[in-house]
Amino acid sequence: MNSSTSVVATGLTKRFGATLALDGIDLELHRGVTGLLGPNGAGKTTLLRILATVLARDAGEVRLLGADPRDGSGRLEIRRRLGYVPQEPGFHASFSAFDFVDYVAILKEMADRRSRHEEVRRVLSLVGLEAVMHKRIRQLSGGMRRRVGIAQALLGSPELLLFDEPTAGLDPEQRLRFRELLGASADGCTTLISTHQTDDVAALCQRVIVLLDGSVRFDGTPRALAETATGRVWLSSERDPSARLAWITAEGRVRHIGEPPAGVDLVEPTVEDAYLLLTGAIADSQAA
Amino acid sequence: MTTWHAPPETLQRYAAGAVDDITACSIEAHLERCAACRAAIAASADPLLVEAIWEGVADRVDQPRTHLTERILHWVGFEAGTARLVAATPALRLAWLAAVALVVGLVVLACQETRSDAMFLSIAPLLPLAGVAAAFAPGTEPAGEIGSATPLFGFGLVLRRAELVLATSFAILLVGALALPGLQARDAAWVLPALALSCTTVALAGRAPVVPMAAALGGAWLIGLSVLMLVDGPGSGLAESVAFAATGQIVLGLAAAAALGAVLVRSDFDLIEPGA
Repeated sequence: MNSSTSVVATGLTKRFGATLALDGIDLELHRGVTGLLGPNGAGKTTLLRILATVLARDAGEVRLLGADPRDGSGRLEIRRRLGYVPQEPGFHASFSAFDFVDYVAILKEMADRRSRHEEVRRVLSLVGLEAVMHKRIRQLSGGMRRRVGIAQALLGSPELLLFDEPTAGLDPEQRLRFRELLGASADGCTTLISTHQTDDVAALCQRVIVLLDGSVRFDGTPRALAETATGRVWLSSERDPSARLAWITAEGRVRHIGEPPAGVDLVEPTVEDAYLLLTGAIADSQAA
Repeated sequence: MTTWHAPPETLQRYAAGAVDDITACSIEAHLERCAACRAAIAASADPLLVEAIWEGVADRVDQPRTHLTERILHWVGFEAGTARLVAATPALRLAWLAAVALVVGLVVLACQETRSDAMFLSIAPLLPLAGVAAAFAPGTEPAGEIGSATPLFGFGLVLRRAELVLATSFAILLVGALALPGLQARDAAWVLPALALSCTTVALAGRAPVVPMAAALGGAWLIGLSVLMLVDGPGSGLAESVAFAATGQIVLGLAAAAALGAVLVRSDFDLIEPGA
């Protein structure tokens, strides 16, 4: 394990009643941005919660920034260097954006009011909310609320950043801003982004992990993921029933994923194509 | 009308803070109206000083509104940040405390009407129980799931909230108990059941959902009292219940001690899942 490995998990398992949410996951995270792709129910949120120290694992080993979250002092050390944006923040909407981030800053041990307020203003302007920071959160749009969630995670410049669907509900301009933000603040930081947005993964992530039914199905670069679909993506003017998936593109042609018949117009696959192929293949093999 | 402008050297001295108050006043009154002099002074103003003043203003403006509970806690000796965290539980808000006081008041009135303290002794243990449940109920952490991933969130914080809730409820109940008709030692018989119920709720937090568990414990207390009344037979009322007599109090005291021990042994309160 080299010095830039921030997260090591082996055999990570979590069960909820009869459901096996995580089935013996092995993974390592290093500095840089890693994407976590997977359909709903794949276990992404469960994995993120365990890494964020808000959920205890049932079995396996986890070391976050060198400490074990099972142990009280380890948990404290990890939380001091962690930023977490859950999918449902669950904060009381009667807070103002400033008050909420300030409250979280107190929870993050920033006792001195002056420097804490400076830090709160810093993170709120990083996400572009300085104009509305004294408005109640319930008066803010969905995208702005999500940005409040992102702002609090950036308090104290953490070493480990965990995002659960950070760009859900953001418009394209805000998603671009999020990418810029990540580029600026992710230096020296280990970032894990759980998302459905394959284009965010392609644009932002040095690595991508595909999770399905609680197991890791792919772990590598976005380019390598895309290449798994080489020769399996084609365009034609009409829908071909033999394809696993097909949809009409903006240009009016039909994009297909699956086993191509002879003589079709093969195209270079995207991360999205490969992801759909991978999840579809596994779904098929389970149905068989 | 002649236009008076402050001479440049005076402006410089003003910028350095080296003029008397009267001159400063007249310069400031002038600066508010004269853009040319403002521009002239801008060059000699100490940028660090201006920055510091601006930060101070922004800080005052950004100051979150503090609730009364928070101010009281701060006055009592809690450090400002801690006061904010602890006061953030709904069971320490003025509205909640007022509601508890109202209920206690009504029960005491009813007891005075009936010349019996039975109703007070039966209902009193439920009030701290409700408050402690509110302090522990995961949905009431204002920062939600975000809060549970922070360093200061944990057993210490939630327990401190629960302790304060217990203290405030007990204080209100004590005042109420003093107003009961015919004050006697038995009027303190609500203390041990209150402790037993509250500590058991805390001891089970995370293992069982808090609010339903508190409701179940409260229900069990009332049902237990009713069963005891039936067992004692007709002619003996609630006031003579063994729960409020020495035997009952010893049993309840042991239960409270056991629950307290179970609480102290736990170390994983901060891993309780929000919404659990």
